[in-house]
Amino acid sequence: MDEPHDDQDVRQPVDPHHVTAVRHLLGSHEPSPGTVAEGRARLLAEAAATATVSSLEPVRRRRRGRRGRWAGVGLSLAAAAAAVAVLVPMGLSGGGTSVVPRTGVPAPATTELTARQVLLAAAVAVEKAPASGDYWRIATVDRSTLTDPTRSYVIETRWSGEQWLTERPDLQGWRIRRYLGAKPVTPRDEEAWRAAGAPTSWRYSEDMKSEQFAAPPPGGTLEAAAGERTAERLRGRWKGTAGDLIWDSITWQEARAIPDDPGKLRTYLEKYVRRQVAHPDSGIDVEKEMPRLLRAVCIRMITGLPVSPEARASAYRILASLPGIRAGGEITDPLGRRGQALVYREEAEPGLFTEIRFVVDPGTGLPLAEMRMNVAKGADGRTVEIPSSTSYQAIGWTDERPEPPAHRD
Amino acid sequence: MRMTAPPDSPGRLDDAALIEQSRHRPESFATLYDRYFGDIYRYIAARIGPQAADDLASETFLVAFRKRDGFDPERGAVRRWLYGIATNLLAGHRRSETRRLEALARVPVASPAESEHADRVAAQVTAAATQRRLAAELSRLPDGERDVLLLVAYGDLSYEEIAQALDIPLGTVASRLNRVRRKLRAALNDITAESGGSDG
Repeated sequence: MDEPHDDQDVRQPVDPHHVTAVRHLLGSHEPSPGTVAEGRARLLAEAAATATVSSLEPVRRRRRGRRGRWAGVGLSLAAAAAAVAVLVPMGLSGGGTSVVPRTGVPAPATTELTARQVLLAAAVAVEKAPASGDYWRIATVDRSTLTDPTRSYVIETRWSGEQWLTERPDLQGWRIRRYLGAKPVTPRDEEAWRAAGAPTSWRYSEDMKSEQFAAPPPGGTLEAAAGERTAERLRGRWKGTAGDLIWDSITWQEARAIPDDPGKLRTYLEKYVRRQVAHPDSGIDVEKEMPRLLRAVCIRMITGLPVSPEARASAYRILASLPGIRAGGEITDPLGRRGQALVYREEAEPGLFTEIRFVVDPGTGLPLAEMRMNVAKGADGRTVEIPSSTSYQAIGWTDERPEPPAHRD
Repeated sequence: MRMTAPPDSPGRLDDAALIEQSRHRPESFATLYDRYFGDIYRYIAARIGPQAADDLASETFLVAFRKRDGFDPERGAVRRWLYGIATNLLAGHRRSETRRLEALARVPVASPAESEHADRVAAQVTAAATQRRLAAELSRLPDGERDVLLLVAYGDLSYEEIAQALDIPLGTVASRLNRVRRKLRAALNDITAESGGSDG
């Protein structure tokens, strides 16, 4: 079948003017900044979720032989169920809270809630959320920070996004985005920005070394001014999916099949995690990492998947049974709302941690924000803290209709 | 050192090292995204149009990220690997690609703007006719031949890189390109050198 090469010049597979004609016909389309940012965010989201898994690989190797860090991990389903029924002091390592209720004793009336109390309160509250609607809507505001090209001050960029997913064939799913602009973060940054001539856009050179979580914008230019609201019809892979559960997209049918009951949900999620993560050459001890993996899928379920209110409540209950989550007290989220912070850490690389504050409103059971504090090495070797966040303005079923702007696709 | 680094050429070390690094520091993969997203996007957008490319280009990097453990630096550079993944994903969009090409083959000759000179209009009409012929020819190409042509046109890949990207023998790449070359020559009557416009 395969002919050997003829005597054509191997380095010039097609006549150059044919290439020109093909390119002229099919065009050279540049991705919009929104597309670039969205794709990057998707990738980083996936990377962040995976960080819980693979970042531990080298760490674990070094720590082999030490006493198990996850001593309290092997929570049986019965124990999980018990945690649902009462505020049980499991005494798990990493619980790390000041107020530990004793078995069978009601939690003391104090403003200092434990992580478990917050999570179980959220579980009870979220069960009252609407169970159906025409659209599954998620509205978010994303913030991230980076330094200016000269590294003299820090700039914050903001994006808003709405996702309108629907199973109804007569309705259109949409993704609506808007770049909300960029500005110096603190008064000191603003001062440095003014001193630099108050630029309204920043040009990053190609060779500027990207820092962890703070790479220069793809395309090289960052604009201070906000952009237009743009909308995109969901099609292809995104049409007909109900979102994703970290590693894989989930169909509506699959979303409906996710169990409501905490015990069954845990079994289901553990199976799902094993199926997604356990390939023989991954070098990951799935069973050992299961608490972190479960934490990641539960949080993803709570912040994104159109599952029943009962299933979301169960995800909170599973979180309540996991080690490594501590209470961060009442804090203000990036949109100025008060909520209870649940704090956990991910080891991005040995010795470098990302601290995540998962802010929930225990009154409604809705997540308010995920605030991440990443630590990176600055140009001078100094440790730089780079905050970023996703704030949730809405997560849930609605009969409202999206209002895509005139500028679409 | 976690493991012995495979021998590699300095030019490739950067990308391959990033993949290696991303195994324990997943967000490193974003640097590869920054380097190649534009390339991959243009390739995909040329084949299935910019709207569908938005998702598929980003999907390419997600798939690459998930498969990063399977990346073998001995089997070529990261860039051609990404083109290979994109081409595999495009295989699921053959129908939209063909529909797009068929539509391009039917594009009516654009109505000239009021102030255009007559000779310019004539040149445009000729160019448009050539483009329609080219579009029709592309839509008729077997998938494998269209893959290699567009990898050359948009990825600027060599025979060897295409063979690596698609995981097919070098001889197959060569024979496919020979056939493509013959067909394009026939379709374009070799008058395209004059018809290449400047607007995109």
